[in-house]
Amino acid sequence: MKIKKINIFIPTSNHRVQINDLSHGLKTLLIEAGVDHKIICFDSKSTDGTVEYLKSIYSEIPVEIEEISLRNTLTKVLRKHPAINDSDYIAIIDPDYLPATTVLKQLLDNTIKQDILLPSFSKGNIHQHPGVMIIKSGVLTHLLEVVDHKEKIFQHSLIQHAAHLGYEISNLPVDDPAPKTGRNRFAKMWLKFKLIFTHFPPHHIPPQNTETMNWAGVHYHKSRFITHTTINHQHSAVTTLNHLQKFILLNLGIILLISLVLNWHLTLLVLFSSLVVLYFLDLLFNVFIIFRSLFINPEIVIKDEDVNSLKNKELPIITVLCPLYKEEAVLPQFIEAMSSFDYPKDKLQVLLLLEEVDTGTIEVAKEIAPPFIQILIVPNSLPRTKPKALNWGLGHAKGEYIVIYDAEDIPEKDQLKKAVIAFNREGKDVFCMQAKLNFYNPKQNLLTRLFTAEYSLWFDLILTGLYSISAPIPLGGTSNFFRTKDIIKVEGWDAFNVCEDCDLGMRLYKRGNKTALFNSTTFEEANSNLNSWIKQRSHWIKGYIQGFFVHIRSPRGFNRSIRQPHLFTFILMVGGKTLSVFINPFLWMITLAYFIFRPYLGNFIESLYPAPIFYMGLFTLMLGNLIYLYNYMLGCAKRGYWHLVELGFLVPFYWLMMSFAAWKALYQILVKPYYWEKTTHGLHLNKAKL
Amino acid sequence: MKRLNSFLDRNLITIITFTALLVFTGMFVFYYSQHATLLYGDSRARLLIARRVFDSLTPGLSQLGSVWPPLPQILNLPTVWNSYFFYSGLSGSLVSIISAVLATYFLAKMALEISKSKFVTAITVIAFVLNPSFLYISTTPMTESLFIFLMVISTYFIWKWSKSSNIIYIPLAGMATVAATLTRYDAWFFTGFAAIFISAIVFFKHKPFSEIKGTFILFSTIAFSGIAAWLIYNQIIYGNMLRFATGEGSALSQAILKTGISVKLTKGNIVNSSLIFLSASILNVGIVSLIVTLIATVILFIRRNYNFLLVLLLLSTPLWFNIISLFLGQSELLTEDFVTHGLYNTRYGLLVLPLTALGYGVMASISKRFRLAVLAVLLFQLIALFSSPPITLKDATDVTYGYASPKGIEQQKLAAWIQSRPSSGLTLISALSNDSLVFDAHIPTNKVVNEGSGRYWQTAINNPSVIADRIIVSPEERDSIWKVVLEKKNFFDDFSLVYSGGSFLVYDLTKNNKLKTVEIVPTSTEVTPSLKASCDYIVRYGDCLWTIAEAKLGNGFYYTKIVELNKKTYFDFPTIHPNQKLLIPCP
Repeated sequence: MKIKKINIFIPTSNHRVQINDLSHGLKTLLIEAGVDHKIICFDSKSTDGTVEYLKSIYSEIPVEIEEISLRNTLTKVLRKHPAINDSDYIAIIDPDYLPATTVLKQLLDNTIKQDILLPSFSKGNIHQHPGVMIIKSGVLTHLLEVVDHKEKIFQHSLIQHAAHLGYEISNLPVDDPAPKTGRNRFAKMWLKFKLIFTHFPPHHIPPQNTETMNWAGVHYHKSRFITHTTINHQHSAVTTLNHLQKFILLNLGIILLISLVLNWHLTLLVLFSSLVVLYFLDLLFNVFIIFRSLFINPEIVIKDEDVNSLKNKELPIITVLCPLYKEEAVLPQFIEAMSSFDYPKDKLQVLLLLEEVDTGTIEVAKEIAPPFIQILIVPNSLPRTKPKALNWGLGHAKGEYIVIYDAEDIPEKDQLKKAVIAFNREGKDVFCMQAKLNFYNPKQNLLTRLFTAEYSLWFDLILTGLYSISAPIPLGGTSNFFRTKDIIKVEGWDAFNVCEDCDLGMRLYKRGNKTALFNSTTFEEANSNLNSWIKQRSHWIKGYIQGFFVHIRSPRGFNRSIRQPHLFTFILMVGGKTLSVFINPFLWMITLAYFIFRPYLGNFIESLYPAPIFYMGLFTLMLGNLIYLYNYMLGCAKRGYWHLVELGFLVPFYWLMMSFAAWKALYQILVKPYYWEKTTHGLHLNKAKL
Repeated sequence: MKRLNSFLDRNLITIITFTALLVFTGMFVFYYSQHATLLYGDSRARLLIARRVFDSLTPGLSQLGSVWPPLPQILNLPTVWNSYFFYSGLSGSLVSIISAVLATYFLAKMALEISKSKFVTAITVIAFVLNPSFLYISTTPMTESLFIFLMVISTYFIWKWSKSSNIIYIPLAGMATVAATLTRYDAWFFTGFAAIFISAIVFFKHKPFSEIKGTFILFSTIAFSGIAAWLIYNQIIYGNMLRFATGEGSALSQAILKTGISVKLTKGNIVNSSLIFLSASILNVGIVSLIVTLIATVILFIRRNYNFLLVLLLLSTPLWFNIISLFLGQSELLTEDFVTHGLYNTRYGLLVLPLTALGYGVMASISKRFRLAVLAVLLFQLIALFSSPPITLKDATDVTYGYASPKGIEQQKLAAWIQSRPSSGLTLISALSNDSLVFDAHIPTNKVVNEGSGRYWQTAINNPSVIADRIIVSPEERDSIWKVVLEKKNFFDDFSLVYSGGSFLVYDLTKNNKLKTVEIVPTSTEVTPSLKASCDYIVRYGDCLWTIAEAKLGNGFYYTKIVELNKKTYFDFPTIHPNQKLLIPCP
């Protein structure tokens, strides 16, 4: 993009001689180039009559003057200056650098894609004093916010901060000599050193136009993330913990440590007691949910007659979003599933969201995709996650409704129609229609059987139960339908949350919207490989941890009324569920130790639990584990998977694997929070070939 | 009339439940005013077990012990800590009354939902609630009422499931069954029966094998968990999984010790077993009821009305269980009609009540024309039953084995004696044999040392004088303390006999209390053997003083006489060896 309009800032201080040449040169250059411009001098304490001189030539060359008073600094003045926002680009020129005009001309001749454009001299690097720089006004605003206003080496400091914050800086080779260096060498080194230890809050990048959220993003942690959503970072997992949360957790840790030192026995006693109470509550809540679910059968039931009586003319356009990454193996199956939908193809916009770098899938897709399936390349940017691709797809969606499928999904053929009916039947406050998920390969091996049992429990009993008490529902990753305008209203998906579905469910709830379940199932591929399953699970657990810390920041949103204290539900379902996966193995170990080494450890372990808590714990452990295990059986029975009922007895091993995955997730969240553990799909196909 | 009809349509169950509540509460007030609610020794022992969870030398849930399944005692816990609720037996009676009301509620609901007829419901409820045996026992802290309630709801849920196919009723039925298995061992049989029954229903619905298996597992996982937990509990706490059945002090060994009569007749004899149990049932619900139920079942079978048949079959399990249990020699049951030795456990026959009550209901539902006749038959049967005191009350106060037996009367005398001379210290007394005495004599439960007192018991057995101020034994029952009394060297240095009445002996610690005098309370029926005429006896291998006294003098209690005769020549403490020559009173 060629620059049409630019504001030029010149900081001066006793530069009467230099400013004369510079202002004339600039005027000639800019008028010749036909660029709309404004030149502003920021003068600080000039005594040689620079200000007076500029005023005198104002009629000839209109240079605005901003005098910086003794108390102010250049940074402070700039922060509030209106000229920053009335142009997209700003050039900053050092009047001491004599060839500035020619260098600027060379810079302006180029197309500017980057955030900052600098001349690159033959010997130079970005740490050199640039003399001339062009910077996007939005970037400058952000930099001015974070730069220390007392910093003397102004331009240099801007560039250093920009590099630190992950802005793109490009160096254009120019012929002219470099400006003199050597000034403030120590200050530069000190600045560099300081930056290593400074941490700047996330900074939002606005979208390119107001119609979609495309190209919106955030700068954080030395990187630029293009997320295509404008979700405020407070409601996003871009920071796993905010300052307050870090502070609280740190303090809790310190208190725990101190109390362990002061009275370790009492501390452990209190710790164990609160755990037991938490488990007990969770148990009661689970039983309650499942009973409700079975007694009321709350899901929306759409009968076949209703589906058949729909007329094609009345059907709305539906956009199907399918994010893919290195999944060419299952692509044919997906295309088959899309083609066999009982829905007019002209009212179907299927968007395959392919990552720019994933050339393999792109090639295959181009080869085999039928015309009604549109290939949409998601531009390469950080973070490379499914929700980001979804946001990009959202910006290109034309349908009245939007639905998400994974590449390996096989939805029931009438699912789209059922969803449309369900939306029409329910009120406007239902923002999301969730179909139930299950697996098409439960019989592949033991793991897929157990996984199927888990999904049956989750979608057929727990989620319906949660729906029946209008609690927040962690959405399932696929087969959720939205009205396009609604999902835009809630600003799409959080690209940083690796469990964007759970997060969106919570966000919807906080905005007072409902999620409903209807009687249609999408069949997915159950992970049949243990390694791959652990990866997938730790990814989910990571997402749940992120989601918990994001949404606990604004806890009041959950409590709509006294009769629906769903903060409690949220803490149990998202926080408690996750926490228990972490500590389960330790509690089991203690229990086992209690029974095996009762003569040696019995008294000690008993002393950690006061009598009522001991009985409560014993009850929760014995009966509770039985009940949890039994829930899986009920889930299978509800689904009609009678052959899986007996597998309930193997579920404890499944729990152990979950705990393993959880600890792996914790490790990851500390080391690489947005890393997306990609699940390999299509393993069932290999098996079929063999 | 129409209005009344629609009012009844809406509120029938509520009206029935409230009426039942009034009736059972009224009966409680009546029997309580007659001091009749705590006549069963078991009822008092159960209250004690519950009380000791809070109030004993070693409190805790382990006090629930292994003799009886724990649920009835657990249900007493919320109130039993209060002395009024404890000594009045109210904490147990409340559970029984509430159970009876709830049983009525579910039985009525079931009858109404199956037959959709108010008349059938009413007749079932009348047959159920107005049974005198049931009315009495549901005012006492016994377990029959609770068990009947749990059996009825379990049956109700299974029926609901078979009707609606909603799987939620499977765990519900399972939970009711678990509660029942933790109430009475009878329910263990019910559980197995129900599991097979449920599988059969799926089979008859022509479902695939996987569904039969799945349903079976779904029910059994919960239903058998109570049994499994009880076995594991016995294994962990006592190191013997089957202690409740085979161990010392198990209900069976206690019963056989007490009478040991019917077991000889019924073990291995199915005819006798059936006859004894049927006669017990007749005493409780009446012969007409049994006949009506039998006819109803046959008609249902011919008409293939599986709804009612299913329910009747499930409710008939106590019948089969008790007959099999008698046949295997695992239970003791006496009915005065069949064996002339008095009443013992005759109340077991009451467990067929829900079955026969529904039997009347079924009869009434079969034909509209005859339903008034059925009502008339029912009323006739009830009048017959009411013409004598309820059999459960007679069972409780039986002169041979119950409250009015010699031992029962002696126990009351001793209780009065103890109340007038309470011991300041700890009392050593066997919980297995004489627990109800602790209740009757109002000995504070935290001043009692018994088998459940852990290290106190161990110490007391090895060295009674360190722990106990008073020891109460009943040698006739061979309780776990009497050996201590007999075989400890220097026992009589520390303790002296202060009370001897019937089968009870009371010893007090002499060190602190030398002035105590012995009170011998002669029992009217016994002739004390003379001490003067003495004969020789050569001790054989395996003998002990008790068995010698029992064999030669007709009563083990007279071992004290042997001790007295041989005191000078042989022992200051009575130990005996094979081939030792003893003086015994001439028989």
